[in-house]
Amino acid sequence: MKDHLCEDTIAAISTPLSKGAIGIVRISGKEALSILKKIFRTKSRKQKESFENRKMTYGIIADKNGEEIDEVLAVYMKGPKTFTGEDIVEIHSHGGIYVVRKILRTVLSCGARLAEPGEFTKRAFINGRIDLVQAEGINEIIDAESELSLKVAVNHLKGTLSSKIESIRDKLFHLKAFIEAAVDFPEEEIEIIKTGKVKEEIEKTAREIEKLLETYEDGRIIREGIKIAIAGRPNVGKSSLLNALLKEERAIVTDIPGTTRDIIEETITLKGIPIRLIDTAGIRESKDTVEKIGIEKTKEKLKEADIILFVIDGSAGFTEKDREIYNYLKNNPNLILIINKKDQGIKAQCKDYKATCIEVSAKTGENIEKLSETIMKKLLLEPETLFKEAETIITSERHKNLLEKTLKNLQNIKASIDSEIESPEFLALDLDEALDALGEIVGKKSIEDMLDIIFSTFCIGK
Amino acid sequence: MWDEIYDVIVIGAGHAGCEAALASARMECKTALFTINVDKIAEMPCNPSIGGVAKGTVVREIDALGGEMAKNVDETGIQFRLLNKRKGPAVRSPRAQADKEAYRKRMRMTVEQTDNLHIIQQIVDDIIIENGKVRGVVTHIGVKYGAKAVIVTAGTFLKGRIIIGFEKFEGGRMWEPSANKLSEFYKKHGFRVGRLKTGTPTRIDGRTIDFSKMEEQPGDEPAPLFSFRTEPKKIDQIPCYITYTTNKTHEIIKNNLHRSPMYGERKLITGTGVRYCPSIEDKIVKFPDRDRHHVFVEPEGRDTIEFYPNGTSTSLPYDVQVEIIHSIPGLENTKIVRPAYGIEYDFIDPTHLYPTLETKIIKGLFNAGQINGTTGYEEAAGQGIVAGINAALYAKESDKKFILGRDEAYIGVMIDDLVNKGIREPYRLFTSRAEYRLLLRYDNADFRLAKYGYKFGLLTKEQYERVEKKYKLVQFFIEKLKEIKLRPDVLNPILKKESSTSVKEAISCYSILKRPEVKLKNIIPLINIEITETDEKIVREALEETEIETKYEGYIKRQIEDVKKFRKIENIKIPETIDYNSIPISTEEKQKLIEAKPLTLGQASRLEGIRPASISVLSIYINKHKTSKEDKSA
Repeated sequence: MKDHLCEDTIAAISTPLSKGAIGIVRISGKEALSILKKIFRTKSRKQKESFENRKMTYGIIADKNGEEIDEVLAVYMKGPKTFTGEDIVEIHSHGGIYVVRKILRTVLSCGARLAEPGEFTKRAFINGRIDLVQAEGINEIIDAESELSLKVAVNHLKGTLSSKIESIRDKLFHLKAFIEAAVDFPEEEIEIIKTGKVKEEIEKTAREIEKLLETYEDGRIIREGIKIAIAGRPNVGKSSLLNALLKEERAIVTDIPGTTRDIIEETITLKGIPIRLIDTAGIRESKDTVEKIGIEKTKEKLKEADIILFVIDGSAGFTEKDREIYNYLKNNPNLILIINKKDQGIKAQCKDYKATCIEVSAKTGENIEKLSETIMKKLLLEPETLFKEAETIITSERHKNLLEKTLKNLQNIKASIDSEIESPEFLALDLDEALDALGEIVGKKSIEDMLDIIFSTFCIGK
Repeated sequence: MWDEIYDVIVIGAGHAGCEAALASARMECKTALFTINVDKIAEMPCNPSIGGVAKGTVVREIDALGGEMAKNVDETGIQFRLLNKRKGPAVRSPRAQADKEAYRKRMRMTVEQTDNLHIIQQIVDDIIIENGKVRGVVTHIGVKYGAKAVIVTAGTFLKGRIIIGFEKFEGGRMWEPSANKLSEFYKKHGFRVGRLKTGTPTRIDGRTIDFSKMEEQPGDEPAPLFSFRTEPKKIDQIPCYITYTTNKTHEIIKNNLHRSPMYGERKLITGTGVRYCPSIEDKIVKFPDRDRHHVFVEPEGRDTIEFYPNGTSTSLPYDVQVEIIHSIPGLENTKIVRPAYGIEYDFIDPTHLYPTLETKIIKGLFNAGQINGTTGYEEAAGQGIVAGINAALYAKESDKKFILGRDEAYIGVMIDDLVNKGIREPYRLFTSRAEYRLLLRYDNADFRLAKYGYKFGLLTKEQYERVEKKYKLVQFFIEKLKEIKLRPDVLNPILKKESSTSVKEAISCYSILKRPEVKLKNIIPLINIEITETDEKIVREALEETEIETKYEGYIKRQIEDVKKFRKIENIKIPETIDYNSIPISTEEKQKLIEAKPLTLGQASRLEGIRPASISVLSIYINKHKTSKEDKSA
């Protein structure tokens, strides 16, 4: 961690660096207000001595030499009841890239330091304004690329997951109290293990955790998107099929450069669920398709894919090249064979193939909705349920690992009880570890190492 | 100005005071032990019993440090039992019933026969302070004694008030004067002084008890003794008895609650009582669903008719006490010798202390025992020996400090809890207070602590070498057990006898010993190892230790890993010159840290109201501080 933690005042542009209606520069720290006073002028070009807490003030920002930069609305929010827990100033200017940057430079020249990625949130966490799950939730909101991931993230910020974990933790705590009583008060002859109460509670809690863990697969989909690979000869209509799929949805959200030159990934959303298209350049471009399929990278990508869409040109029939690709893919359970160009009359028909198959027309849109449904069905995804359950979906790998650890401890306890040999203090050891792991999720224990990991993956606040 | 000058003065000759004074004197400090009544040295005003779960382990720890309590009870005990016998070794603990009179007598003799130790029967009214340092004490007859260090072990004597029903009178114990002025000294110097409550049941006439209506509880044979230094011996044990309260008892109490100084019309008792050792009326009020409560009838000694009806402590008026006793099976016609009473007393907020038990406000002043808000003879004695060692080190102007970690001893856990968290009710030790209890066992207290006892001169070289021998032997056994493999034809007959699954291939003794049902004593005859050690006690204890270490290796290893993590921040010292105001943490946390003066980052992390994130910030600051200091010196 950087050693200037919280001692100084930080500033950053808080809106995306692009043309927009407004741009916001945010300042947090002890000097926030005094910096604002230095650079803010009223309409009548006077310095302003005091700012009302949490009230927008109209005025002008000028640099050190008195040169006016822009008309702005500025607000001062007195700590500690602010996002970071410190004094915060926000300067809302017009949204030009140049203007916002110039205001930031002026702020920096008055003593603020440029914030590091995630530093505002880090301060919010350090100053106790948010817990870890909430901090991670903020990160997720910023990164949210689909409606669903946004909903999950918002729920993390609201603390829905935290309170779920807290309630599990509470139950285990109570159980521990019973176990400890049995150890420390032998004269009371408390028999808790033999009564089956402990086992029952442990099993119940283990099931709850298992259920939470099951949501991780959904969580992964929300976080990383469903990986869909598209395969097929050139000119079978792959691109138009894609566009047809996207018709009702928002357009392509981001371009993420692929890990290799050959593979390009794009993220779209389908029914509110993020989809990551893995377009294998090898399949698209190469004349010698089979040879290209042989390329390890492509193979790997296909293996990783949650869904493989194999597109053929139905009007041209099932060609020899199609067969080569099909033979390679046909045993993959994630395969969907798409016979395209139904509008032109097709020579190949679904009933002839073992794989999940659908006849469509990208051009007219025929059966495109059915294709979406087929994809969801194949993934066992029900978008509506997902949205409903979005309250307590595990999306973070850190949470998953800690929950798995908890589960393992609970299983140890169960095994100990079943073997009828262990004294309660050994159960307590596993129970303690489970409690610690749960505590770690909401950020209550051994923060040291964790802080660095979490905040170094943060990329917000700028 | 001084009538006499000492290195260390100890005020109060109870269980904390005796251990403190003995440690100090044995460390060759000229020591004075002040008591209101010499005849009451090491008095047991409540239950004449030593040990119990966690507490028994403390007694073993005191012994390993070179203290006296274990030896004293081994010499004077009349019944010895090992509690939690059927549970794991980490929560087993010895408990003994002592002969109250003999216990006191032997401790007094030990104190009297210790070099450098003077007993003085006077009441200390004030402690003299100069420039924030202890200088000496003034007694109730105006005599002044000089001292470099003073340890206050005042027990329940500070403004002690005894309560029976609505009768209330002064007293530190029944019929003993309280110390009324010393609390004022603390208040004057800015200490927070609070009030606590405890109590003791009636004592009853054994000639009038019908033991045939009770369940006999004999001692264990051979008697599980406390001290590592006591040679095994045959003890003529006296049984205890178990009976129960009845519906009638509960009716009597309910009908008379209006006459209780806690629940009744006049609330004479305002101090916080002991939840873990409640009065009988507490139990009835707080657990109305229970239809009966245990009453243990325990002898007070060999040469007395008095018995202690454990579980019937009360501050109800005397006529109700009589009715309660008579409602209990076996006690229908029992005569009461001494009435039960409640007692309220002042305690000093223990967060005023460093983990050495020295106060943060006055240098050279140490508090130990019940004055710090604890209950129990064992808790008191454990603090006493730590305060004694530290006061002696202070008087010798040594830089050394004796601080036990939470991973080293129950005594360490207790002191750490007291000084960092303070108390809301009388503090008693439980095994659940110790995070690393699988390591803090009664059997290995010598392994954990004898090194300190030896280092400070409280154990002789010979005593320490015995401990070393024992644990070397444990190592030897474990190595051999791992090395030697047993063939199925040799092993299976034994396994069959212990109804354990037979083996098909040769297996190491170590692996087979991990099975819970397989006992080491049955494996030893199968293997041929040469034991050169001739001391039977060492061999027996080493075998016991080997068995525990082997059987619970998995759990023990896990806790050792936890300790490593704990030590990571525990070992980071906070520089005395730290300026908390320059650290970006909340104002409340700054104030808390400035007052608490934690010595290590670990200690800071256990203070209430200090958030984990602030500990990270603090750790960064300490690192920076260290580097900048190194830069300067370079």
